[in-house]
Amino acid sequence: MVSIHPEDGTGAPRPSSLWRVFASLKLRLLRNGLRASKRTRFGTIAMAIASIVGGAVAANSFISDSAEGPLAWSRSLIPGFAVIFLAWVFGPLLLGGVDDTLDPRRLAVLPLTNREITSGLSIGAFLAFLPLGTVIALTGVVIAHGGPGLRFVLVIAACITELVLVFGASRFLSVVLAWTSRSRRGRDIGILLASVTAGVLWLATQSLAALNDDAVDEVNRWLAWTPPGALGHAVLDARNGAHLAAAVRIGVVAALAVGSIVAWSRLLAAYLVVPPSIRRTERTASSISANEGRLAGVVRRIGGPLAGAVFIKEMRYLARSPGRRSAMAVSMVMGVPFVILQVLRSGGFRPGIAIYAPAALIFGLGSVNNLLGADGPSLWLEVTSGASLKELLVGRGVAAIPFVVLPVTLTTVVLAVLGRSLEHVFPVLCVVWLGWGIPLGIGAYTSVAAPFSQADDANPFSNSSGSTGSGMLVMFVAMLSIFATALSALPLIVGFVATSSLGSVQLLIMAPVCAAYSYAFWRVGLYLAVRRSSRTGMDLLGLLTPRGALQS
Amino acid sequence: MTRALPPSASPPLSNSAELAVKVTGLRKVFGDRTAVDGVSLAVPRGSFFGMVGPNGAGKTTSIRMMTGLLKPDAGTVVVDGVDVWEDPVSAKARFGVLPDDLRLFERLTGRELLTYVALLRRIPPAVTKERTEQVLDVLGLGRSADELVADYSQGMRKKIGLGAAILHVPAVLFLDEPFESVDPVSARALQEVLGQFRASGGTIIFSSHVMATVERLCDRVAIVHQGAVVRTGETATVCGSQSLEETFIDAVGAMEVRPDQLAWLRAGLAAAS
Repeated sequence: MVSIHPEDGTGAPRPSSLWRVFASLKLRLLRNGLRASKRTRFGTIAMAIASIVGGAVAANSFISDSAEGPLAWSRSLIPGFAVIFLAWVFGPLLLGGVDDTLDPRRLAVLPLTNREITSGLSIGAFLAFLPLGTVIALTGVVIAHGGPGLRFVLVIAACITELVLVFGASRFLSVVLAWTSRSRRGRDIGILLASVTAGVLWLATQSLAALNDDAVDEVNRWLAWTPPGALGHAVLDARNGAHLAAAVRIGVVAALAVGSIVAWSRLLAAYLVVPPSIRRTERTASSISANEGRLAGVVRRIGGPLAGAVFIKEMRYLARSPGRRSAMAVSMVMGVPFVILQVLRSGGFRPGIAIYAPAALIFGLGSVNNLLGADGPSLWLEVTSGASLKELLVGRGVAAIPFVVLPVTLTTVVLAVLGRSLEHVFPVLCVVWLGWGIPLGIGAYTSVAAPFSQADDANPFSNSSGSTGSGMLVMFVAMLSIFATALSALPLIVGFVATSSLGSVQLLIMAPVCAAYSYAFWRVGLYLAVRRSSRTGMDLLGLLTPRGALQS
Repeated sequence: MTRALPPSASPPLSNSAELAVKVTGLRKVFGDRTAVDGVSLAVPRGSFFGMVGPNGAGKTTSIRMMTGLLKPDAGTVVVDGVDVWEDPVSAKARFGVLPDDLRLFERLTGRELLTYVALLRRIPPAVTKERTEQVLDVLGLGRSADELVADYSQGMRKKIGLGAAILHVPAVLFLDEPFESVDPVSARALQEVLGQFRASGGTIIFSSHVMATVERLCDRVAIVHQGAVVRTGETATVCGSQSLEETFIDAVGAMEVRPDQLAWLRAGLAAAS
């Protein structure tokens, strides 16, 4: 064989050719995403439409506001740039769909410099639908505010800097999360910090709509000090003729953006060759407590002989599995601010506001809707042990009740305290603690109808089945299930609200009715799930492999 | 460059120019566990070098450090005259690797995967096309060349991974458990490809649990136990009059099952029969 080495001169390429290879690779992956399966195709097309329409709506908003005065420009530009930043930084993490061209470990065996790897990942990140939507939105900014001469140059510079900034920040966050997720403590802290930051920023941004104009202007003044807000303000400066101020703002943010890319690149180089810090798992109790045993007995009676064992195993996983711990942290941390946001938008804290608390389960539904896709190796053990689908759904479902109950309970207490109406805590908790069968029933059916395999860790690169379309599809499933859950829970909520004003006796009568409705709903969900599985010939073990995820 | 440990009880190293791979004092510690403890190896050019050892012996960690995928705490690795940790880009151009946790672009077809790997390895497009087709044919992947890698079986993934590792005609191939999950027919095809590679002057280093395969294929062997090389050299010399399996068990110790253990299993089977 003839040896081909770089010094042979047979293949040393110009850097531009490597760029072309990376671009071609990304486009091929996008094209193949359309031929993978109906579901993935649907998700990819939906992602494309959502990005293009979202970008067009934003662009139209910028353009229509340009006919107004400086105040209107300020109210659209500064929050607009901030929202684009949030969509880039936190969107992919919340959607769970990570593109495999963003995973640096796939390039680790190749003779590429760190600069070439970061270039390749950058191309992978930019040749996607979210960047397309962003470019459309920023084109609206240029059309609306880009005038002649220097103003045009500054507006273009601000938009390009925004693109570099959102890219650098999102990549930096991803690699930081990947880095921290390699140890249990780091993973928990990382997920909590990311969730809290996302929740606070999201709350702050979305709350703008509920504020009066003076408050919006006050928030804008603060937002203008953030990097994306400063870019929005730079466009405003350019439009107002303050070219020097605009240039300074753009220059400072550009330095920050470049700094974040350099930090990402350096951290990436270390991430590829430095192993996680491995600590021995602390000893944990392996015996089954009396309470667990009693509960497992109940689960066994409902689901079948192996349902109790599945339940006990899942309860262990709830505490030990990285994926489960992260999901629980996100559901708790994001659920509360989400409901507070809704409350703020609907007129603020007032007596009776605790009724909004059940909405807090929105971030826990992802776990309830995908009972089979998580913990692949243990699913293999359960299936080969002979557990039926019903036993799996019951055992795993009951163990997932904390995802439903805990965030709502916490939110109920917070809202009741803020709204100074503790009398509503009991009825709302009755709905939640007795009504878990509704999300569980819908979750059981969704777990069979739209399963997707999940890596058992919190590494944003680890979703080997992730693609541009799958994240969008997961979001669609979640939205549908939220709608179905809300609709199905309506009779309970109305019933409790109506009876809570009548007295405690009526409440006591309502409780068993609620429990019966909830339990029946769950059983119907289980029945429909099992029936669907037997009709479609569902391959449970196939779910363990990445190709079982959203491709079948 | 990483700090080199004092020379351990390693075999005498021959002239560096004759060596395809020279590993000196490789060490890696994870928390309170030493995974690799001063491994030193000298692999002459053109050899078929087998690394054997029980689970957790440190084979995979060693291979990852030799191929620039895991930074060692100490020690040096020189492949084809290039220090892997001083000049990783140049070193990676000189070897191919089939790691244990093979990460592929799942949404490419087999043909596309080989093509892009070759292009990213700077092989000219015309050469890429020719080699891709030949590799697919030789590895028996011709019929599934246009299927997505995500739909490949574990054995097919190993084969396409090996194909990707040899496309650039490396001087050295590092293979971590290459025959695991591969059916006997495919394993034989892989062995033939590796045999041709070696006959053309290439060097192969691979880890395996299958003693018979290592004994049949390898002219040199290293037995790794608890992170250290306990025996290494030419296979015939290491084994002497014994088989490799016997030598291996002598070196690392056998696990014995006492008669009173698993009594329930025997009783259950006896009752069933």
